[in-house]
Amino acid sequence: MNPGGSAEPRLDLDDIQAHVLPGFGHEHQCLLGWRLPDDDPAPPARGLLAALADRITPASRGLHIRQLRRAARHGRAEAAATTPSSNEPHSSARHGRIDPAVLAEPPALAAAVSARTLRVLGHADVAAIDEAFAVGMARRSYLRDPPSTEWTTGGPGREIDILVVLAGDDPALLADAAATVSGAGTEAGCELVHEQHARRLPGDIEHFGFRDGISQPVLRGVVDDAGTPLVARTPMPPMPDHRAYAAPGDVLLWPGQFLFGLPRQSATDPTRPLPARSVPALARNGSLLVYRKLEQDVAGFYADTARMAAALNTDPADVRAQLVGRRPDGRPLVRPADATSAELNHFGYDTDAPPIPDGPRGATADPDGLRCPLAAHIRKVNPRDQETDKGPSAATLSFAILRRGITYGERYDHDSPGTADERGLLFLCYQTDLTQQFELLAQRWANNPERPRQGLSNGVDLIIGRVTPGTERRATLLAGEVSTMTDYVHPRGGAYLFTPSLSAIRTLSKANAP
Amino acid sequence: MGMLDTPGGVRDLDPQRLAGWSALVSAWMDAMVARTAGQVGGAEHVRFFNPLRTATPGPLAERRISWDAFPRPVAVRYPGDPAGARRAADEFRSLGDYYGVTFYAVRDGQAEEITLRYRPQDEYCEWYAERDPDTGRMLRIVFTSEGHEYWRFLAGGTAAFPSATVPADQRVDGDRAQLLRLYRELVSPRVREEDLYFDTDIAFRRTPDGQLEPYRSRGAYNPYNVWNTERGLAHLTHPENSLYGEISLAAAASVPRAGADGTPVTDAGRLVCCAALGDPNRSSDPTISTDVNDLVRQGLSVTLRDPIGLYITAFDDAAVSGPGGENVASWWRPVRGAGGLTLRAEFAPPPDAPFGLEDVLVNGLPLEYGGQLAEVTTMSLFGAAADLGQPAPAPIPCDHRCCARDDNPDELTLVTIGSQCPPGWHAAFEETPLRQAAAGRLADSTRQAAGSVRLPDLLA
Repeated sequence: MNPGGSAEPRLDLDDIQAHVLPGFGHEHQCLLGWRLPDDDPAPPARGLLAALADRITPASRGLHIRQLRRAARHGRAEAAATTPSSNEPHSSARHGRIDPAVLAEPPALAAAVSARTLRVLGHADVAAIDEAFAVGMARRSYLRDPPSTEWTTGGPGREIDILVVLAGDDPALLADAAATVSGAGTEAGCELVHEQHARRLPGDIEHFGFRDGISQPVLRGVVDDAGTPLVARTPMPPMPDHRAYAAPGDVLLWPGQFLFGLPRQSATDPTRPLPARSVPALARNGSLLVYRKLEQDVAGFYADTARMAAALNTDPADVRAQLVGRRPDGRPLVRPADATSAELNHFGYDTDAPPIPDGPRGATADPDGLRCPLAAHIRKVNPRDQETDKGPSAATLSFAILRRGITYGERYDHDSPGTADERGLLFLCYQTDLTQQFELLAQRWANNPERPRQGLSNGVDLIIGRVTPGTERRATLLAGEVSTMTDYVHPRGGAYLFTPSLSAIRTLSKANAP
Repeated sequence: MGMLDTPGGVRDLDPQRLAGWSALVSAWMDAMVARTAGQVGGAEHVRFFNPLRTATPGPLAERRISWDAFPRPVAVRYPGDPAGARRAADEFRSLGDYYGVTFYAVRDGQAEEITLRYRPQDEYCEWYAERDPDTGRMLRIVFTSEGHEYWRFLAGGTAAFPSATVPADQRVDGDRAQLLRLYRELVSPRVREEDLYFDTDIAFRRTPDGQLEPYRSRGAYNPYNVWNTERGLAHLTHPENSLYGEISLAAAASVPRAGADGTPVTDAGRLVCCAALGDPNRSSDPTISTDVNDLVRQGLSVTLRDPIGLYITAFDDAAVSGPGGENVASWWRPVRGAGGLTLRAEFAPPPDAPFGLEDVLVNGLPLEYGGQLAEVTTMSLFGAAADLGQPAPAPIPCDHRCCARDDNPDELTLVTIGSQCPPGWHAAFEETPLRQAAAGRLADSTRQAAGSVRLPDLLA
């Protein structure tokens, strides 16, 4: 079913990296960043990419592994092997028995490169594919991040030219793989400037204690000649927000929003695609990666929200939930507290979400933020069906990103406060237009007290929003306005990178540029 | 309320002319109330009001409506190419092409084809990069949000607007000396009075062999004069960037609309298309329309806050820095408009700056185009609402719809209901079969047509 009526494109799952689609769901990850030497940087770049080329995990493999991992986790492996669930990616696992060995197979691997790497390898056209990418994160001053000289990741002299993401469930296997890749990088002549271990917290929560990654766009696209969609579609009634859904809450987006060379999401029509952008062949099936290391001050967050709660004469847990827009287990504030797991994403802000037969109950809209504050993080970065300063709600879909973040550091122990360990989120996301996707969400909306909702000054996103240093951050919550001089999240640096297709990695690793 | 103030509360006028300006704006608002009454079936259903004519219970509730200053209609034609969009936004366009006519200077009975130029910067914000004539280096980048009407009023008084019904005792003459003073103060001391006025009669032809029709008389103020186009910037030039357009849009947007199935049209994109509320490609028009319409659907009556105007309300100074990361936030300076209602601002180095505009970085990119600053500039107008004890009027059907360009569906154009999309365009906002069936049923019913609110000022 395609409510938009346009044919969905074939996705080359053997060419797209699995980190883009469907992402790495493993418990452990290790990020390794290399800087190319100043002198004669091309041979080391080619050397490392050549060593990586055959190890990179394609989307087809990633989908297969994810299917098996989910099935194993839910104790329904046999069922998953024979019956596709309504919202599971298509996978060959549907057609055969699970091989238990797959759960202990080598870690998944992704590789991304900087604009500099592309330039030194003779692909300046791809380096220029996006203005913000070409300039680099360190110079995008309107993000209001600390100056790059203060970065612990990707700062001057430690710029990440090639980033490798390794993921696995067995820490020992992951360490072995990281050592192998590190050796390859060193042998190629690259300098390891960044090594970051990460681990998902139980329940997929982030360090402030809230379940993360609930709302993700679903890509349109088919995976075979028979037209099997990447994600199976549940029959849905026409929705008042005019969008198309794969299932309740799972909004469908055209894949060019995240992968070059494919039809893109329109800013005016939620269902009909824009033609694919004309891009160099090397860019096809590739995607732009934002890597931003965000340290979280858990003690500061809890202390400051307790202070706010006392001033508002309310419960600190309510203040924290209102800053996020969800309760810790993911139930949205827009819905009553008895929301089920199937209802976490089926709601709108401007229009009532209808009940779905044999599915989630309907949800009443909350246009003016009377149940979920307009400044809540989830409203700031995803206004859903609500009109914004950027136009109709359809435009909001064209700003969506694919989030691939993972927590790092040990969980904060509230019984033993004062621990100096660093913890936070490795924010990773994919898109094809950094300015109109990541930067718009972070800069235009999260940092701006009057956007995205028009006409009402609602404050900044107090979770990630940034203002001029030394000035107060303010937000309107349900019981009143709160303000703070405390940042709970501290950007520690990162990079804008390009995650090429597997075929492009092979091309880049060869000596002769086209 | 006794009088409507000048945009930005500027003090260029003597008391008599100030009253004349108020009467002129009031006349426009009256005209808009009358037009709206025609649309909704009588004055009792109108929810747009002239604050000079309608007493409100208590102070008006204000609503700030904001949008991006960079012209979205230009950006949407350059998908994935922001640099291309910035270049295009800096290129003048022909006013004749805009209206589909050819302009002529008529002197001694001889007509000579001329080109009047305007900027395609149509989010009620236009800019101009002033350069050193000897070195070509940028000296300052100036931004304005001031409509042409106020400047035409300075030149010709209320008589410059013959279609506005200003009471005889409130008609006033212009103040050409003041107009010249402003040009010299804001634009260049080299401005000569004769530069500002047409030195011949101006006429136009709708077709190559059509009749010449009068446009402006010799001696009339020329909004497209060289000091407001190629050599400077005094006020807005885009035909749709007007104060009249702002009032017109707010009034038209006060009419609730319903789709073919009777469902209220609330989505910004659909509302603009349904009622032809300006240009569906712009950031400003859909935003203004939807916010006004939203207030009316809540049972409120709406107007524009005095002083009525379009304002430059925010500049994200974090986006700009010196070549070594120096803070250049102070280079942005409002220069016209009182009380935070900025009509004109400029970005220029102080006299002792160790580097110039070309060395400034905007998010890491060298400053080359004013559009880079417009991208981080916010525009606003201020709506006002009051509960006058009247429920929201019943919605009326759509009279227009949008078509999307086949090769770039984010680019929209308006057609009247019942018209086909032009070749190379298709119906925007594809509907479900259910909605399409309802639309077909309604197509057979009688509709009350309402014209586009963007009345070209060609003959105004």
